[in-house]
Amino acid sequence: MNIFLSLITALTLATPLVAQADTTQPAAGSTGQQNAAEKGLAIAKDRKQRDLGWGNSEARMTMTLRNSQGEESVREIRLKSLEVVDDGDKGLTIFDEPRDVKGTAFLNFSHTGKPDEQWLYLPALKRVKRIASRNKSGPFMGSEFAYEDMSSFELEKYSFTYLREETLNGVVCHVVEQIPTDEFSGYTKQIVWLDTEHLRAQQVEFYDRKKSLLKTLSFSDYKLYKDKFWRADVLTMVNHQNGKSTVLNTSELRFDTGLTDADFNDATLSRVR
Amino acid sequence: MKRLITTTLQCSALIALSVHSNSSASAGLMPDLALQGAFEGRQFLQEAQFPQQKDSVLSVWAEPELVWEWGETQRLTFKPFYRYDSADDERSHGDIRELMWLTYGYSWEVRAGIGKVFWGVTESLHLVDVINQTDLVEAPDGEEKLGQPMVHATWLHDVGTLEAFILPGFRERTFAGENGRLRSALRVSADGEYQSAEEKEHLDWALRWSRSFELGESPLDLSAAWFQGTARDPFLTPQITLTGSGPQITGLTPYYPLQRQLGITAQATVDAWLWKLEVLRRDYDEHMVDNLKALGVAGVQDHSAAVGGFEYTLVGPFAERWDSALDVGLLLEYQYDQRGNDAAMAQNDVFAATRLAFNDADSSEILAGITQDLDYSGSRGIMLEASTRLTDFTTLKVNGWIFMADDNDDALAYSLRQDDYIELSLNIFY
Repeated sequence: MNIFLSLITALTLATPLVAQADTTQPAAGSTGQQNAAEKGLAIAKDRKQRDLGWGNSEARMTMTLRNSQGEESVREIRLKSLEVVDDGDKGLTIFDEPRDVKGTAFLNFSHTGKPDEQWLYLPALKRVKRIASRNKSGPFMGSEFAYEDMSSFELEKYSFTYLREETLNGVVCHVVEQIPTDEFSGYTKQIVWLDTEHLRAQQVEFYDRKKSLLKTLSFSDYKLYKDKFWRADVLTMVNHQNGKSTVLNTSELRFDTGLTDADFNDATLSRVR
Repeated sequence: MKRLITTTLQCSALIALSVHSNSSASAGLMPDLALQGAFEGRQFLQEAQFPQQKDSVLSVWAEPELVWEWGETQRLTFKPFYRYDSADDERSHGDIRELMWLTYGYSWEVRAGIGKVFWGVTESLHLVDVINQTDLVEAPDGEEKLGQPMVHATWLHDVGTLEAFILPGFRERTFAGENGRLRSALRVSADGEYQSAEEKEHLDWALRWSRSFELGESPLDLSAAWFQGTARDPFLTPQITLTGSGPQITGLTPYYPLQRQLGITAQATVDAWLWKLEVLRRDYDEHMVDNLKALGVAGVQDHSAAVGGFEYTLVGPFAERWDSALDVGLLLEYQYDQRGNDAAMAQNDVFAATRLAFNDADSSEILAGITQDLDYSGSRGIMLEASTRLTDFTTLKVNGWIFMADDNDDALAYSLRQDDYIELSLNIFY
């Protein structure tokens, strides 16, 4: 039975750490803790606000897993995403390769006030299985991305602190600390670099439960969609502790493809293809 | 050669047609083709109970899948299956797993053809799952199913998801043949008998409702299903032959009665816990019950049964100490059947298992468990399922079973006690 466990994930990669907006002025001189928190939240709100209204999208992606010896393993996935007003977004991931998981589908509802909901459809058994929401820190398809890395960016999921302004790879960035509010998160904190011009995530550092640097996620090849929404084509996650890395490469991304709520339903998951 | 040319011409014609009908990217008459198959070797670890049975068995199967799509909302899926088995003629068999036309709109789906439907939430037993017949020669856990002819309509409504099934055409359960392992001492005939005068043509039907509720912050999934028609679980009646020394039981005949069944499932998902319950109520016609009882068939009575328990997942328990992404699932389920220990296998049994998900690039996984009978303390089954990916198009699986039974009264378990096996399977995907 069980082709592979309760762990496949994916999701609304479309909204995640990728967003933009204009922001308040960089901090001049020292600010108090209160100010740093207010400013961090203001930037996050701005970032979220500027990404509202993207609607729905369909993406085709290649995920390349690389171990510390440089051996590669490739997955092909398609990701359908639906923006949900006043709650987290919905995502449907369909696996095309490797062939043994072809047709497997993963449905995710991100939520703001309660745990995310997840289902897995196993085509050989024609069975839809609900997945325990607790394993958000688990790896997605054996990659260096965890479930929670791919969930949609929601203000309720973190408390924010503005740290500093810094130039990263020639881009002027706000550096913001995000502390997950969920006790089941695999991280104690995330440090996010957002470019000051568009508030697009350029880099994220993830710190594990021992507060050591675990992973770094880099974003590149940003493209503008519908004249408003920035999406990075290439996401590279490097795990500093085990030497593995995962590159998530978007080969095709389309918006307004006619997806509705009915396409994101555990009762209709068996027709997904 | 002539045949090849004809085929080539047909293909060309199909390509030409598909180009003409190319109204959208996915439309066309050329199907999307996928193929999977496997080479399997089974080694039985104990001496066979019957002289015809083999200890080593090789088996190979293939299951192509062809899918045609018209526009966005119409699809035809064809999935034939064939297995060749070196030892058992009954296990060498073919089936149409799926030949299904599907169309759907915003809040509805209609399927017509042959297909498979799964109902249920528990892992050790699928009590309420009644639409498809079990393809028992495939695996002793009964997870493999035969394709069932059906019309299946789904309606997404505010009160929940409503489904209706019309099921014409009955499929008989498969049983191991003379040379096959995993069988009872008395052979089960391939030809069943029916309560209904219409036999296989009796029209069965089912209705189902399912819905998710919120229990605090946690989802609670409920379903209820009614099924009316020929039972998928046969009773085995004795074949009596008159010999020189008098009447003797020489075999068993599957008898498929009519039944009415209510099945209810519930699952609560709370943090790392999945709490699961399946409850079944099954009723028969009184005169059928009397007739079979007169023949001495055990367990023929209206009855209730249930299976319930939990799956708890430890996420990355070794992540910090050994840098391992391993997740450990712990499963515990209790099985109950009102008919008691002379009629049912899962009447007072506990299932305990662990699921290890390595979360590696090869999706390696192990499920190992034990089912212990609480009435017959010597009856238990131990199972192992392990799988890993070898390449982008091959996986390796290891399945094993150990059956233990020391009491002849626990007849079914006792009949399997010499059939422990380990199976190695190379699965190929294209």
